[in-house]
Amino acid sequence: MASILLRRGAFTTAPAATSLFWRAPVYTSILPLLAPTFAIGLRISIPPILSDLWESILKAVPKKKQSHSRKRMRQLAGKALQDIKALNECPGCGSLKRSHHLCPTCVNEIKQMWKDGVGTGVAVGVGDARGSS
Amino acid sequence: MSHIHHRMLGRKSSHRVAMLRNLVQSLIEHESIRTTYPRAKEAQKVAENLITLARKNTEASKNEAKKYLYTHELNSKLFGQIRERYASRDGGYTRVLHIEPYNGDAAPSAILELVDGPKDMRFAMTAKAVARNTYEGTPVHPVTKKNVEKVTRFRTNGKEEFQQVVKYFVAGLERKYGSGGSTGSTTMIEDTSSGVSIPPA
Repeated sequence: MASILLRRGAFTTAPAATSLFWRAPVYTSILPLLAPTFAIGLRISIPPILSDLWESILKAVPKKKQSHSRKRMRQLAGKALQDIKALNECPGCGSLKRSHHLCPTCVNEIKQMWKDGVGTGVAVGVGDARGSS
Repeated sequence: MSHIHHRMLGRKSSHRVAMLRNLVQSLIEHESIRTTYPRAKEAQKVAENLITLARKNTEASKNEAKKYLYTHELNSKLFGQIRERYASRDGGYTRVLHIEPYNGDAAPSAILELVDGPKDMRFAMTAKAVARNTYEGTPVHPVTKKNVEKVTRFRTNGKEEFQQVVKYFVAGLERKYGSGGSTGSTTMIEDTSSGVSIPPA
């Protein structure tokens, strides 16, 4: 393990003189043949910038841009996104909303009103109900 | 499967029942809940049955409701406040309203609410529509008129509360866009809103 670390240091940062000094015991050991492979393995795994590139290389992606003609043919065959045509005007604020759905703006405003304590019937309704009953 | 008349909701029976129980408890506690449309429709069935039990108000029905609800507070609320609220209403105690999807998977979402409760969204929405007409000085749509009748019919002090909510929204519009019909608008509030709420009554 120490020898691997040494080789890595020698390849990347260490100055020539020290690298010579460090290389000496490595060549005497069994590792000299293995050392280049370790170095390559390290070099591939190190740069994080390439990871995205690897993703795109390793995954299946279209080789060519789909032509305008092909895209139009596909979409005209019924695979295009459908337009939302069921729309109408919100009676509460006048903005466009999906029919049979509540307008989100108005829903939020009404929730705010409840927070302000209006329209919940708690202050007026229940109090009066208690008074009458 | 044509003999099964409920949605599976992608769960085992025990899981589904537990989920519906939780939904219904939340509904009784908070008066209004926001969930997906299929869940709302299933929870609606259970909630209606539970309120029917409350309206029966017998020993047997009390036991049935006690079996379903997890806490005594909710049970007493169901047999107190909620039973009184629906004393004169024959069915239709809950309402499901479609809203825009609120979660990431764009599932059809809905609000499940107790009708005539403190969180009655349709009541408030109708009042908001009337408020807009009042502010702009435009005539109220016939459908809105019908809705005003519907949402105030069984509600305690429904008409007064309706006026309050209309006033709140008119005040909001005036704050935002200035007083639209100048001084005429304030007098218009009384005219149109009383014109809306009184004739159907």
